Amino acid sequence: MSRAASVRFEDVSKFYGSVGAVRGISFTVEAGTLVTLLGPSGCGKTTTLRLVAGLELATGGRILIGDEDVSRLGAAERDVSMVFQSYALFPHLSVLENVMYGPLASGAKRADAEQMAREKLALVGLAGFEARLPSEMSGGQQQRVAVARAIVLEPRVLLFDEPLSNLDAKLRRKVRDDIRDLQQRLGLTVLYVTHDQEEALAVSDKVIVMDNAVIAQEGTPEDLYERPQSRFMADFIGEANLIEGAFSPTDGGTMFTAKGVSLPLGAMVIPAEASMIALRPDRLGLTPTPSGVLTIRRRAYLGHAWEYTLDAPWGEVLVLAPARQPALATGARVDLVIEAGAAIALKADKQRV
Amino acid sequence: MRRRSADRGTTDLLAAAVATAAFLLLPWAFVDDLRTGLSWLLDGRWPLALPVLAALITGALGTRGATTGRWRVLVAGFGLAVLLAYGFTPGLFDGRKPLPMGLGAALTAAALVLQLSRGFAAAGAFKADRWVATTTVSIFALVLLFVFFPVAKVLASAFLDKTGALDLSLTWTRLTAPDIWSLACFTANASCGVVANTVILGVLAGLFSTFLGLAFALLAQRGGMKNTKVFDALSILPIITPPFVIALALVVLFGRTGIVTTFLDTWFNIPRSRWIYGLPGVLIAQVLSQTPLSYLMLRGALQGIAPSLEEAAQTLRAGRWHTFRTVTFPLLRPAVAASFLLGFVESLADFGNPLVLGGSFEVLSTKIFFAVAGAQHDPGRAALLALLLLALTLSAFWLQMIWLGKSSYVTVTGKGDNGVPLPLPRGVRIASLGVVVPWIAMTVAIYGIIIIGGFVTDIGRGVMEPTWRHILTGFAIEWNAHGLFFAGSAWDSFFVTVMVSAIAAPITALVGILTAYVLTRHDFIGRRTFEFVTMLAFAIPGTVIGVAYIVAFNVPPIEITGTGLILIICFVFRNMPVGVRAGIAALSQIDKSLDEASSTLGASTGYTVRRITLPLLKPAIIATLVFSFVHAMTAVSAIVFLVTARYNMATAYIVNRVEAGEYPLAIAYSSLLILFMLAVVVGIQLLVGERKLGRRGVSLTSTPSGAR
Repeated sequence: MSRAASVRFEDVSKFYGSVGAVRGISFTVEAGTLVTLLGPSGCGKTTTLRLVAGLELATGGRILIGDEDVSRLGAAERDVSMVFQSYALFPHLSVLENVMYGPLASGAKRADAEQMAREKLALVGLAGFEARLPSEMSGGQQQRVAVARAIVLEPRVLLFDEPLSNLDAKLRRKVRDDIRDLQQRLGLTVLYVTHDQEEALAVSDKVIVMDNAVIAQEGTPEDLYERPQSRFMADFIGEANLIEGAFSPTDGGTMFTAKGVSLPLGAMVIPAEASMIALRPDRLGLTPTPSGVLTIRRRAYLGHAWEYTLDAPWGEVLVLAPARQPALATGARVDLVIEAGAAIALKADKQRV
Repeated sequence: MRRRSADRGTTDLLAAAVATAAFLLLPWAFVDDLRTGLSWLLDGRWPLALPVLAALITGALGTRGATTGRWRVLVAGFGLAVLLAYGFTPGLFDGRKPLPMGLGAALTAAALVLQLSRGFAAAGAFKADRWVATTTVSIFALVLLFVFFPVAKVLASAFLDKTGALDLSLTWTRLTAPDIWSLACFTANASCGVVANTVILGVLAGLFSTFLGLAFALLAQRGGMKNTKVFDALSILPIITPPFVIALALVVLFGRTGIVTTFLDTWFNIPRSRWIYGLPGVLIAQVLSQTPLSYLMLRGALQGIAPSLEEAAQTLRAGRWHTFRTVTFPLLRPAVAASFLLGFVESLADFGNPLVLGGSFEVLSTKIFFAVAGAQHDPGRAALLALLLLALTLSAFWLQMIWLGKSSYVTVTGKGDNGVPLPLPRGVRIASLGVVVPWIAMTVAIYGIIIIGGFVTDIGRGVMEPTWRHILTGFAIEWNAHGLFFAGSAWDSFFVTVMVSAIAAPITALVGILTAYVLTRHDFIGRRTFEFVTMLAFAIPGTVIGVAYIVAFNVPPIEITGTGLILIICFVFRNMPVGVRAGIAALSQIDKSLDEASSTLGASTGYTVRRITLPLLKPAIIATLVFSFVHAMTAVSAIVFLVTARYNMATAYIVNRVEAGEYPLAIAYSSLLILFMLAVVVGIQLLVGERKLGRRGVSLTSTPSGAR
């Protein structure tokens, strides 16, 4: 059934008075892929999703679905469906009537609408629940009704607004996988909003990270984790130690100096104006030395690893060491060992609190 | 599956067709003249062609898609402007007399308004939503026509003389008349001016009803009363009681020949007097009808105070009295202020009680009435007095806004709050009981009089012999050769009242709820103005509306005084703000994402409103229906100006009986009216299920149950 279409934003803005909720963003969602919009709250990701749905109209730029410019079309005319954070199931209609709603609103015959609805309910594993009211179902079941209702019209684009936020932790993982399976099985174009980076990395073909009404970076999950392009990105995706200092080329690669401490980084490309490095805690090692420049302040056992918090001349450092390694004592002096290729050189962008 | 297609202009074409048909086939002017728009045109009234032409052009433009939006706005707007301008000042065009607007004109105007709204939507206004555009523009136009225009006109006429020329010196003479501003009652044994009387009465009524309402509310919520059903039952009574009925019962009890007066005279030698006529009587009557409303307001506020706040105070070593004084009462203060202002405003607007009990004590509302209906017949003076009354009312609302705007102490948070409310301090409880018990006795006595009064020979003079005579005078039914014959003299007014109320109620509910929907769910340029204009009707006293309607709608182009239509229109726009408030309250309980879900599923806004919003709003709609029906049946102030022999209303009929001294018939009719409305209210509640009327009856939010 591939009616799935691509979504393209060309320099799209949404202003409320002088406040820009979204400022001049451009991106493409390829047909049949799952793309996540990720970012801290208030970054504009939900506004972006609502712009695709037609629930908000852009104040500037063009939005294309497939090859059609839909910028001026309302939600009812766009051929886009949405699964809401609250599910927004109609409380006065039964499960079946909820799913039939879309076909009926679009002018389908009652019998056809019912057949389509039953098919989709079976697809999400809810055959036999047709006569229930939404209030008589569990949170997870309600979520599946919402999905069935959204896919019944076979929309060209399917939108999810934080679909897992009302579920408990155990269920979240299963529903997340179900959504990904469904998307791949039906070849749907899905745009998915979340603030949970683990969720985003796990389900997406591509992740678009937004910050402060603009796109901070987009790419595959590996891209974003391995090659963050800004201090914000390094800090936002995964844990990172951020150290400011100066680079100097040497024979064996690059040397990084922060507060008088020199750290050998191995061979790497240094972009112009780079003035800091980001270090992932799991790619650092510790060697006990009486003359070491770092002191272990605290250690915590996490099951799969030891987490050490260290005092360094430039501030605090976080290191994750495999749990099978012998534990180091608090107060011990150590040196930092950086795996080759582990350091990420960054420009110092604006500080975010 | 394909979605419905965008606008193809069918509706605009249809509107053009309606306008053309109305022009060619229907009587253009109102009432007797059956000539169509076309025949008026052939008679030389050429400007009539322009609106129809505009409708046709707009219809044609509509088929060209959204790009013609601005042109459609211009053309339809031009057509509408010509239609109105020709209606009001035909002299500008062909120098002939104004032509009243009838069915043909109304349909043409409606078609143009529809096209204008769709033009706006096509041009991108109202978020390009045609349904929202049409609803908003139509309601806006109606409110302008039937609230704004008459009020503006009456205010303007305060500055005109009898020929319609501007005469400011006359206005000044009217304004400075001593019977308006005199404060003599404070210094000498004389009567004050009408403004002072009105304000004194309003302040006292507000104070007393708030005080009593507070006593009732404290007892009901914190007094450890097992059964507060009595209070709640009493609180429905004033809603279904025509406003002057209480005055009537007071006369029967305390008038010169009243039951209590006679008793006191006979047994205690207390001389008969006319003390009830004047400030004391009017005040008692107003406080009697206002107290239950104060009770409802303050009870709601008390329920909203989280018991945990009082518990917190107690754990901090505060005693009962200290907690009441430092926590409970300060939190109640905004509601107390609101209740006082409501009492004040209601007293200003009250017409029936001062009419029956006022005697020589004149207030603005009665003075306005006599300036129009009395021997002096001076509409300019009435308009000026109406202006003063409106100014007083609006200042009260303004005061409420700056006073209460800053201090919202809402303590209800959605979280469960399982504290136990603190019982009242002993002193407060005893004081409340001391006030409440006599008051209940008085209320019971008054309603007892109303129930019995119609079935005895002459309760006004204490002749208590049972009789059916009065009921038969008003409501006799005979069986003659033609079948049933409603011979009683009151039947006509009763049928008209029920019919007008039954027609007005659903329209009121529809207009009110749709307005609330547009206001809460859609944002557009001019939303604040729209909100202000729709709520304005609420602030205007009925007497002012009544005067305004006869001033504005007695002459072409809209000449509808003396018809049943003007009564219906009057009720719709008087009661609409209540529907708006009920709708806004109910809509704020319904998650907005339900509407959005519907529209992402391809439903148009109209379809969403029909299938999702209105079904979920059922409780609010029914409450509004009941309210506007009952309110239309009991209203007096506005409609005494508008009734005629043919379209008489029950309340106006009763007022006439009172003025003619036929108390028993008036009381008999009142009690039947009250019983009828009680039956309607109870019937609807039984039909719908009373609990469903409350907002907790159904879960309207779409929060998933698992997350609750």
